Amino acid sequence: MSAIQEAVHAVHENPPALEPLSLASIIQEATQTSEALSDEEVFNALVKRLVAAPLFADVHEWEVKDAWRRPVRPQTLKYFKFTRSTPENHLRYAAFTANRLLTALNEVDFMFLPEGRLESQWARPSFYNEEFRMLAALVTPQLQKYALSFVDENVTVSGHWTKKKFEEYFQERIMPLAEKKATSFDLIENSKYPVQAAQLLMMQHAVDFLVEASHMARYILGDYGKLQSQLFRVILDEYGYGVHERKHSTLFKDVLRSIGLETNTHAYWQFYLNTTFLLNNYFHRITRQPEDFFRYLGAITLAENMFGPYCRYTAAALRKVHGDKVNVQYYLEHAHIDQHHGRMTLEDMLLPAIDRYGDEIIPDIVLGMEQTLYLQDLAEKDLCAQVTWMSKKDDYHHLGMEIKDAVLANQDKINIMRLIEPLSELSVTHCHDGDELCIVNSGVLRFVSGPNSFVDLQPGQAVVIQKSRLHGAIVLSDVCHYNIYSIGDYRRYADREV
Amino acid sequence: MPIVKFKFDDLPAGFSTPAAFYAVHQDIGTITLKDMTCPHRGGPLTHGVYVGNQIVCPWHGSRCNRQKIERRTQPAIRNGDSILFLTEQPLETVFVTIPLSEVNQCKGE
Repeated sequence: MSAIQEAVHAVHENPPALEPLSLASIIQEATQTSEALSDEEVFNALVKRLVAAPLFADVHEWEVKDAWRRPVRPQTLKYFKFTRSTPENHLRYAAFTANRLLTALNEVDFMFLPEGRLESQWARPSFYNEEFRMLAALVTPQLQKYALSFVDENVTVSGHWTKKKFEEYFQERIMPLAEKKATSFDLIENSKYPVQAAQLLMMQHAVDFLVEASHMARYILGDYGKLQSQLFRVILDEYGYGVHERKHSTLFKDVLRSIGLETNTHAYWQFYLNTTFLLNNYFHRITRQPEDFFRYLGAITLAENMFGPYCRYTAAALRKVHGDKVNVQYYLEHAHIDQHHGRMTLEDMLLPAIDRYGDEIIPDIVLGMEQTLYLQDLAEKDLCAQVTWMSKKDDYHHLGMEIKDAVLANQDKINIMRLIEPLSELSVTHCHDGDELCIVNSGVLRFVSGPNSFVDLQPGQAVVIQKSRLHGAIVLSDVCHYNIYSIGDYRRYADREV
Repeated sequence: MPIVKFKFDDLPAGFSTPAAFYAVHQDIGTITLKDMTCPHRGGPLTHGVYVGNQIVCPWHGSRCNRQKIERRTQPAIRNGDSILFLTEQPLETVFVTIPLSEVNQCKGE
């Protein structure tokens, strides 16, 4: 290993610790001003300090081994501004980063311990410390507005609801959707690379399943009568009645293990899609804000009623892709138990809550259901787009070679990022707001379009990077020189579509 | 119970079912459905005229308290581009506009 590689790895392994500062000092230091600050300036200063924490720094492996590591490419934050997402732009890089950060911040009070030795886990002090919690508390509400307010604006419920109307709505609107097979299953099963596509699906599940019911567990706290005890009955199942082997996350780890995947929480942080984070952050928000309790009651009732059929389809897809070697007990367990949880959440919690607290709570309940459906739809589309992107990795490589000369002929008008990186330098996964062309000038670059999905680019070779699609790269030669051209829309240079 | 569906961009000003008339209102993304059926004989208050604090039904001239009618909101959902209304009966006629809803005075008053 060369000196430069050793230096890069040393920084990855042990980023410098930060001196503790007061909130005022952080803002003062970040802005270098004594003038009155705007909310945006304060927010930006707080985020800047927050992402300087070692736990957010880049890593040099695709699987994140450390229990507290959450890479967010902090070095890129100076190149964009967080703004409110819209249905049209919710997949842009700023939104992705906001969602990544939010999931890390939302778990600031979750307990994580590594499967290995504790003393080797250097990131623990930067995850569990007072400043991090303080910054998380200050930054989270605004980040939530950026990432999630478009959901509140685009999914609304109004009018006078009665229990009878709600029951009819549930039977006629929700139940038929529960049995519907998602398009992504067919895409995965028929993908050119079904194993990688199925791995991608498992990774999207992992963001939530490995900390299973941790959102829900927030509502164990407090004092709200019988409803609280009914929720606890569901939690008991999720946690296997205290028997570790029956805990649902243990069963999910068995699925991962059976197909050779890592089992530690957020091992696949780099392969979570934007909308996977988004949906997860929605459940964090409605369980961290008790004013959203009835919305959560709707969301969890919907989830428990839809998850059983979804698990049946997942088990079938996994068996089709992996054959008998895959352990699908987690999904079979949910296909069964969620028949009960669906009934329990509806009949023992939601409907009694309406009886007790009145029809006024129904719009919030319906809002929770509809917003979850909306986010599930976005997640499904994002997953389908990523599976397609991975299936077409060779096509995008060929397209890159086809348009390379035309792009180079136009390079004076294009933003170009020129990179020189050493062996094993890993570009943490990310996405772009327009199409990009990557051309390797010297050395070898592994361009990664998903888990175990890549093309190795030799000198002179190129690949088109599709707008909004998750990707990363790692250098395979001693040094690699490569350029990234911001071409906007590849169709300007090509006479065909991929 | 039927669920009447529209696309957000094709949202009508109102619609009718075999036994009811509805007006659709939009306020910063929130969609509201008002039951504009005259309590007298089921006439279309969607096509009535406002006189002060009252709506005059075009069928028999019955006058209804405007606030009372406007409180008769029906369950409505906006989910992105999809709009869903819960009604008692299936959709019959769509009103692209509700022509008289903005008139403030009856002729001759």
